[in-house]
Amino acid sequence: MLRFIFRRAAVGVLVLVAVAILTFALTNAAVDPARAIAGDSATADDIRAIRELYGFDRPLHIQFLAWAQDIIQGDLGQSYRQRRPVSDVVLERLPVTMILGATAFLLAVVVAIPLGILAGLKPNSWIDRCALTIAVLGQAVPNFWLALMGIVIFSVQLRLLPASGSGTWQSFVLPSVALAYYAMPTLMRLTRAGMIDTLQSDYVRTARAKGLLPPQVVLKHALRNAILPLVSVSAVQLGMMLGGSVVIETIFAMQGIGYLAWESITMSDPPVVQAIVLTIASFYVVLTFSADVINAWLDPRLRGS
Amino acid sequence: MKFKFLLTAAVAVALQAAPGAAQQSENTLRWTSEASLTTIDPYFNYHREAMLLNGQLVWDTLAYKTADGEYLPLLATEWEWIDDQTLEFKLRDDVKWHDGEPFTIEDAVYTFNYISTPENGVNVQSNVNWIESAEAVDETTLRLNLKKPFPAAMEYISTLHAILPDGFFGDTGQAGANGRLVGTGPYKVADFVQGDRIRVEAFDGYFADSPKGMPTFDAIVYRTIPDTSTQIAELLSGGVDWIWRVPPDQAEPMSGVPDITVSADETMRISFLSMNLRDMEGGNPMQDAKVREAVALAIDRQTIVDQVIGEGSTVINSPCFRTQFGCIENATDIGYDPEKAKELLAEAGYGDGMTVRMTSYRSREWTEAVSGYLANVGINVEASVLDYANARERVVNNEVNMMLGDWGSYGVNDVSALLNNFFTLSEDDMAQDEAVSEALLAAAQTADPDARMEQYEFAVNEIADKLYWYPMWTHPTTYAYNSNLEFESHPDENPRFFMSKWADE
Repeated sequence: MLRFIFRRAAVGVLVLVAVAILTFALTNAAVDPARAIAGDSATADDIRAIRELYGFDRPLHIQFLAWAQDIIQGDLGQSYRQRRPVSDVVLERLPVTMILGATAFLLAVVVAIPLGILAGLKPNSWIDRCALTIAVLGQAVPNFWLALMGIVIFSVQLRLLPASGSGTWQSFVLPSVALAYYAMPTLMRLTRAGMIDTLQSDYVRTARAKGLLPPQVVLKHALRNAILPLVSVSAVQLGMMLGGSVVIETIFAMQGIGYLAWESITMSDPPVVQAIVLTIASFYVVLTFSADVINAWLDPRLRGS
Repeated sequence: MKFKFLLTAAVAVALQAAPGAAQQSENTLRWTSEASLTTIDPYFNYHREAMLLNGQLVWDTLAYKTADGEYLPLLATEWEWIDDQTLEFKLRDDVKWHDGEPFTIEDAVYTFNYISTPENGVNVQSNVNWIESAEAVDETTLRLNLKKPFPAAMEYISTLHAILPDGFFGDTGQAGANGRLVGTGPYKVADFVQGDRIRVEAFDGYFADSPKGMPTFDAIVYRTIPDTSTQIAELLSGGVDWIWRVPPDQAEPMSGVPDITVSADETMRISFLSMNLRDMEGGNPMQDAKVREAVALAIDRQTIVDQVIGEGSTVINSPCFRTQFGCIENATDIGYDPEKAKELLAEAGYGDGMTVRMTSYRSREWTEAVSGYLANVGINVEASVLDYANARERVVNNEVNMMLGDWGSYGVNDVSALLNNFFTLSEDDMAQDEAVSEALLAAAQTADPDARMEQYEFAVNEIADKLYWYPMWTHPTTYAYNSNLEFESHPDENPRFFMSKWADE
């Protein structure tokens, strides 16, 4: 088990290194940072001065090594636009994204798993059909559309919820629902498929034959095995909610890191963009790593050789 | 990010809903825009919102420029050109900062010396890089030494150069690093969250005879909302009182909403089709004057203005905005004539059609409209709609035949703020015409208005006649606000909130 953990951790670190190299290369390829900092009406001399001032005239690999060295020492650099440490800028925005991601994830799980169980218990029944319709809609409807419809109905028409901001708990309702609805179908379908599979397996038949009550069979025997794949998928879904809420945060003007990413891209602030990509990549790595470890703990066969 | 196609639906639904209670009772003005203000000072920002909100509400300039372009005394009571490169200001001695400290000449000297030092890296260097230094002649006389004669100086000094307290940027370069996030303006900073919101509150100690007047609101709150549909939703649901830059397709349905006023107004920003005359790899058809004329003849600007851009925009026939010093009206008389365009192309040897590369950075719709007209006469356009920095890079690297560009001149009422950026042989100069460049540089460094005008007349006519630029249209800005708000807009796109107020209930 310990060897397995070390191996997975090493892979995670390698992924982060690859992400760091890619991020650095892409942000530098996307826009000339000196030109971006210098602004609309800068002359060639202004740009040259800025290039020297910030060290953009050094070879790219030297710049990368300097940057990587700083990051290892915990220094994410200085934001060009906000003129303060990138770590401050990102940390300030993390809580909103965390709350939004966690709420949306919980909402998705709380709705998707019971719905998946019910659908799996009675395949092709009306409840299964309803659940599938909800799932198909969730996958087909873009979350920004749902978000805007939510604003039109609940903010403009009914005046029940704020259309934007992240100052109060009410501000989190619409974005959480929009984000959750997007993630829910996958979780629901997996639960449903897992339930159908396990309910047909021999040990469930044995459990039933022993005369156990239906809830015991379903919750204790079937569900525990059915949700195994959910652990891995949930990790990815949670990662997606923490990192992929750029659109939702932008629509609702929420001060999270997704919105910060959008802001920093439009304002050409590469150090912040790089830090956000690294942060989100770290979320994924940690979540996938945890899922791997949990799965290996649940099912020794996965520990492999 | 704009999810415009849904807005019409949203507005249609909202038509039945009147806006919520305005902040009239609390005498607060809440406005929003997409600009994310990451620093509060007006110098380390590109955003008009920062320049306007902070530069004018929180701070004062030495002089104040009215909507008609007149300079009135503000922190300075009078000023005088000592020579072409020296300006002297007599400063007021009765003005207080928001923390009660008196405003002194040290503050003004610090501000000008800080912003004009290139190492300090003020964002828009061309706004400040003509200043050499500032010094105190006596306790109330400020002398500004310029690097070169710069007749448009007062334009900048009266709009962009907010006077900050001595030591404002400290050692770190951050606004208020000296612990004094204060100004002398009618409103003081009450709350600032980077990238999110700014709340300013009325400053009771504002000097009474300021042309900006005493504060009319108890508080003015700015919030960043990046998405246009959310901004409109907030206005319709009463979450904010004022928005601007409403897309034209949304402006029309919104004007039917009760208690919302929608107004589209012309701005100083003009669009132009800039043609590249430099040698390019594989040849450059734009070097042929007939091709350039054909391009101009092929585009029906009036229809684009009417159908695509909308209210508040007009077709222009000069490569400048009419109120700018040095601009002459009707420098070109080329109109829409696609048949003649085809003839000219045939004469130039492109009767079977041709392909050109064009970049733009404002609007995909506008770009497609222009490309469509050009396609009609056989000019196939490979268009790339980019952000400004990347579009400019294509121009600088000589990769495009044309650019559908635009420029707002930072509201500066002098063509030097426009043409000198594009026609002075710099890397932005697609024409590389030495005579034009010489005239523009000479005009920018001459104090005598008649001599300047003569030079500008030559340059403007050359640019129009030789079709370095084909002038296109002016940009409108559409404002939408609570109808109880007394608000007046101006072509310089400066909302002047200090002149607004809630109508008496």
